[in-house]
Amino acid sequence: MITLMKRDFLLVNKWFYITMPFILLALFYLFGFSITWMAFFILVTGLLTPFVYDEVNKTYIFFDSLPVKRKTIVQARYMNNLFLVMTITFIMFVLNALAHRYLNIDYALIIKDIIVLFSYLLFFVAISLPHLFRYHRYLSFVYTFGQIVILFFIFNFIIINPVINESIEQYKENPVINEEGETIIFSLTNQTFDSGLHLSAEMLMPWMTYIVLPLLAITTFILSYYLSVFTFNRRDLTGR
Amino acid sequence: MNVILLDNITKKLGDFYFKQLFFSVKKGYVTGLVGPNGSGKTSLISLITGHIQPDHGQVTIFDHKPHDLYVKQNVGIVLDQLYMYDDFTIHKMHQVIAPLYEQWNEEKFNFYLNKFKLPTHKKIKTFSKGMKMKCSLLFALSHEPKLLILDEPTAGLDPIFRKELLYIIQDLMVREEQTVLFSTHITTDLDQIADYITILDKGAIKLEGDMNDLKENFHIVRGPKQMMDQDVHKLFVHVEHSPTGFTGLYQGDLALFENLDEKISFEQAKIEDILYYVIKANAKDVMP
Repeated sequence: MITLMKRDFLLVNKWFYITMPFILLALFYLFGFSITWMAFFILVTGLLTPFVYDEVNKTYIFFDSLPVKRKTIVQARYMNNLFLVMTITFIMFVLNALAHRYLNIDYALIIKDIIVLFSYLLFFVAISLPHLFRYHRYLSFVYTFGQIVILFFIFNFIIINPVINESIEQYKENPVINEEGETIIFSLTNQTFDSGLHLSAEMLMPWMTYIVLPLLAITTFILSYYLSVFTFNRRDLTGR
Repeated sequence: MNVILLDNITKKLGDFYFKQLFFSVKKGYVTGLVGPNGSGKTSLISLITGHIQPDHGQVTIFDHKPHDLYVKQNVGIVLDQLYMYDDFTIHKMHQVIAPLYEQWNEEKFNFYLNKFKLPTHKKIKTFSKGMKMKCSLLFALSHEPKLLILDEPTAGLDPIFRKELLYIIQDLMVREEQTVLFSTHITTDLDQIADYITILDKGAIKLEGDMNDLKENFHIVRGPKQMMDQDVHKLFVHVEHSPTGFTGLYQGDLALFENLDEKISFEQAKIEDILYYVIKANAKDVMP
């Protein structure tokens, strides 16, 4: 399985790993990108890249000819994605902490935000992977991208906005004002979104949020793995 | 003993299907699988390799299921294309593939690497079709498989490498219990190396047998037009008519023709002839 996990890392050009931190810093500092959404877009890139390579070169046929079980192929991808989710969460936490300290970024992610971010990312992976293993088709890539757009709107208009509006109502008497004396407008496109992250989770899951949410995410991830093994084992890799 | 056994296989793939198919490959021999384009050779190989699963019936290799690790450790597969990451080099591929095999033979790998003169640090996307095929062979042979499955390996290759490939297979057959399944539509490749032949058309096996028996029993017969009538016609697998005479594939003892006065000629049928006439026999044979 380690060999198969290594394969996905070999796929990505080493310059990607070298330039990525700088690109992230630039996006974060120059354009004020939200940590949460940056994390999601990096995840989508990391999640889809091996599948896109597989589809373009039809390598799943080649690997199915090698002495590895299909179950192991699925396992390796799930392990890689779990590792990816943990890495992204960690990097975002560090990036935010550095930016908060040195770049005058107002909001510092707290441990609650990190748990929520990790859980949301894991949910996203768990929902996407069975589809990718079932079809290995370009349509499933569109589906995965579509998912993130839908998530964006759900978060923006259904979850975050009411939370933030409620907060704004509470703060009406005492508005949130930045150092320049301007009222902070909450929006998904800027870093203020990150401050709504754990509030959204508390709204969705008011009871023991920071235990139930990650446990639910991990359970979904495990169930997703079994579903992927089930579908991939029965899939015809070549057709007419 | 059969190394590969397809028992009563039914598989539907769009408009194409295999219906109650039986197919076997004997241990220690080269079996040639021939058929026109679209006859189902690649699909049959996909069933054997486990890339597709039968709707009904059972596929066994070395008495195991195709996905069993024992099978995969002992089978080398060369497909019609190299399905590897275009951006990988042989060096990178080696890093991924070699650790997966228990009997990976590094010496053998280097031997074939030198023999095929393949660059180890060039991306696969820069390889020609011939180089890609050599690369596929390199990885298929380096773990010394007991069963080698080749799907159209010579298609689109120059005659020199085609010949070279046939010599490699002949060399392999020196090893005891080495088995090869060779699918192709270039039948001349098989004249040289095959021990058994299976002709496939539209998902069904039309003919199978020992190469020597086929050579002994099948003849191309040419004769004058006036000799041909309904009774003579029935003797042939298939007959092609021309303004001056006929050419047909005859299966059986040639003694039957000995007492005929007409000028007729015989020659041993090649695989290509057998394939052509057997496939044509499916179509309606029209008398002039």
